[in-house]
Amino acid sequence: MLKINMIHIIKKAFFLLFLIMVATPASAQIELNITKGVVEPLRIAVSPFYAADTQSNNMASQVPLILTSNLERSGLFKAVNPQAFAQNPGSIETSGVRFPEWRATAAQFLITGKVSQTANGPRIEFRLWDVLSEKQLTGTAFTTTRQNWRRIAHIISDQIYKRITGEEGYFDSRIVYISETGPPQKRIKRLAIMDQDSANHKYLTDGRNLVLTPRFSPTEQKITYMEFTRSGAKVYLYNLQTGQRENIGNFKGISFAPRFSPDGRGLIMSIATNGNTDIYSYDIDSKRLNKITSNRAIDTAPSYSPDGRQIVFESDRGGTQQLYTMSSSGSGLHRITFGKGRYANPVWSPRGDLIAFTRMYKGKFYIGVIRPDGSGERLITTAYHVEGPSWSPNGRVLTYFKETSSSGSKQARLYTVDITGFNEKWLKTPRDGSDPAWSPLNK
Amino acid sequence: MATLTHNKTDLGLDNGMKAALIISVIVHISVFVGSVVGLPFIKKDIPNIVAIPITIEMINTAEKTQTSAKPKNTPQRPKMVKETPPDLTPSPPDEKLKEPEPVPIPDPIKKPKPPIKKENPKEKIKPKPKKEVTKKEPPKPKKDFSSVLKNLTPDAVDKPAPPRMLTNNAEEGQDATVTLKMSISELEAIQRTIYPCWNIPSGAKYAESLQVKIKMFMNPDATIRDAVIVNGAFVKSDPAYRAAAESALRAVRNPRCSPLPLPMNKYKQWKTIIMNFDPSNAL
Repeated sequence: MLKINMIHIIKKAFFLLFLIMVATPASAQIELNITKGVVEPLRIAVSPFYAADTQSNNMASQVPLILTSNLERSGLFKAVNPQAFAQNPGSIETSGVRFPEWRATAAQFLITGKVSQTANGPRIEFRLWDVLSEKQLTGTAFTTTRQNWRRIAHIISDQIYKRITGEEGYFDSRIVYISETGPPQKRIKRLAIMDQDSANHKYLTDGRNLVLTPRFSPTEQKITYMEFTRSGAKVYLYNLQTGQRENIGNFKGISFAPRFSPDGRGLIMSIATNGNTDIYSYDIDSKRLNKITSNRAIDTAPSYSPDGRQIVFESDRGGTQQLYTMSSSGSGLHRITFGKGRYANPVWSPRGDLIAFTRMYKGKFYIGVIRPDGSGERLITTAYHVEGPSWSPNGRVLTYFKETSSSGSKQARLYTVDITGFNEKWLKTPRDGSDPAWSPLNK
Repeated sequence: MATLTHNKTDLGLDNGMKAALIISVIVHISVFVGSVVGLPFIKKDIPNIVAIPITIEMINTAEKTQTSAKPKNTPQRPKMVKETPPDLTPSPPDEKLKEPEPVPIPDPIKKPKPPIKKENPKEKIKPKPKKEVTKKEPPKPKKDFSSVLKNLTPDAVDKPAPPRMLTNNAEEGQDATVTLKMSISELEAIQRTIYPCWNIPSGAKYAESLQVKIKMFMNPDATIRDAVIVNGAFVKSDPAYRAAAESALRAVRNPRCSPLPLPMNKYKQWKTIIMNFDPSNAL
C-alpha cells in the first residue's frame, strides 16, 4: 500500500516539474532606436466644404482654398490633388467619411466642413480627421458676420496647425510694412498693412513723409513707426482700430522706431547723444525715459525677451559689432556672438528659444538665428542685401526683406522662411516692400 | 519484552520517512530547475555563447544581400468590396465664441447633434483615384549624418554630429530560452524600413529633446496590430510632446512601411517591439 502511494506521489512530482518547465514563457522583446527620419510636409486632403444652401456655395469652396494656401505656405503640409479625392462633400455629409478610400490618396489627414446660414450670419464648421487611425482629431463651428469670413478660415487654419504640430498657429495675423515705389533717388515710402496671406491690403500713410521701421505692439492693435518731417524725426504710436496716431516723442538721435515691451506698456530704443549711442526704456503712460546702458560704445537695436526679463542688443564694445544679452535693468551682460563680420538687428522670438539677426560678412548679408545662450547659430538665408527679420506670433516663421538693384533701379521684396531654413517664399505685396513687422494673433 | 515492529533500513529510515525524503528531493529539484528556466536574472549567469556577430560596421544598403529596405508589399489598391464602415460617432464640434475684430461675435449657438452615419450599401463605389496613389516611393532622406536644419554659416561653430553607431545590439532581447535570435542585419532592416516613414517634427521648441517610446504589438504576418505610447503621461500635458508622439505612431502605422521585413520563423522574438524615436542626432 505504501509503495503504490509513493509511486503516485513521485508521478505527481514529476508532472509538476514538467509543468513548471513548459509554462514559463520565453521573455523576448526587441528594443530598437530610431534615430533617423525625414523632414517632409505632412500630406493633407482638404475637401471642399458642404454647402447647406446656395448662399453658402461661395464660402464652401473658398474657405478650403484659404486653408490649403495657409497650410501649404507654412511648408509643413502638402495638399493632395483634389482630382484624387475619393468622396464629394455631399457623400461625406450623408454617409460619413469612407476612410479606406481616403487612405488610398496617401493623405494622412483629412479636413471636411460645412457652411450654412443663420440669422446672425454664416456658420462655418470644420472637422480634422486622422485618416490612418480613422479618428476625428478636432472640430469646431464658428458663426460670424459676412465680412469676417476670411478670418474664420485663418482661425480654422490655426486650429488645424495647432492640433497637428502642437504649436500655436500664426495664420490669423497681419503684417505691417513699408510700401516702396519710385526710383532710388526719389523713393516714396508709405506705411501699409495686410493679412499675412497678402489679402485685405491697405495704406496707412500717404507717402508725403518718409516712414521707417514699423513695430507691432504685442498686446494691442497699435504700431510704432518713425516719420521724418520737416521738424525732424518723430516717433508715432498708431492705433489701427481708431486710425488715430499720437506723437510719443521727438527723441532726438533716434534712428529707428522703438520696440514694445512684452506687456505693451513700454518701449525700448537706442538714442544717440553727443556721439554716443545708448539703450533707453520708456514708459508710455508716465512718459518717463530710463537709461539702461552707459558705455562709450554704440549700443543699439535692443529687443526684449518674451518674459520681459532680458534684452538682446547690438554693440561694438568688444571691438566689432556683435550681439549681447543683459537683464532688463542692464546687469548681467553676456556676449553671445563671436563670428566674423558684423551682427545687427537682433529680435527675440516670441517663443523665447531663438534670437534672429542680420549678419554682414564679406560683402553679403544673411538672416540667421541663434539660441539665447549663444549656441546653435544658423544662417538661414542670404542675399546681396537682406535684413530686418520679424517673427510670426508662434516663433516658427521669419519675415524680412531683400533688396536688389540693377541698372539704376531698385527692387525690394518681402519674404518669409521657416526657422528650419527651408521653404523661403515671396510675400506678395502690390508694390515693393521693406521693413515688415508681424502682428500678434488677432484677438 | 515487546519489540519494535517497524522495519528499519540500513540507513536507519523507515518506509514513511523514505517516501517523504524522495518527495522532498523531487520537489527541491523541480523548484531549482523551474527557477533556472523561468527567472531571467538567474539565467543570465549562464553566458550565451551562441555566435552572434558583435562587430559593428556601417553597411551600405547596396552591399546588403538579405533583407531589403523596401516594404515587401507594393501599396495595394483598396479592394472593390462593399464594406460597412464602423459607426461614425464623431464627437460634436464645440461651438466656440470667437471675437473677430472689429465686430463682436454673436451669442453661442446650441451644439449640433452628433451625426451617426451608416453607409448606404447600395451606393456606388466611386472610381478609384489616379496618379497620387502610385507615387509611393519613400522620399530621399536628407543627408544622413548632418542636421536636417539648414545652415549656411561659412564657419559653422557647431559641427554636424558624427555618424551614430548602431546602438541596438544583439544583447537586447536575449533573455529567451528559444535559440532563434534576431540577427543584427534583421534588426537593421527594421530600422531602415521605419526611417522613411518617420516625419520628424523638426521646428518644434527643443525638438531635439522630444524622445518617444512606442510599443508595437505585431501580427504573425509582420503587420502591426496595435501601438501604444510607452511614456504616455506627457501626451496630455504637453502639446509638443503629443505632436512628437503622434508622428512616431504615424510612422509605425504607415502602410508604406508595413509589413516590416521580419523573419516569420522568429515570431516569438518580435511579437512585441519597442521603438525609441530619438531626434537628437537628426536635428
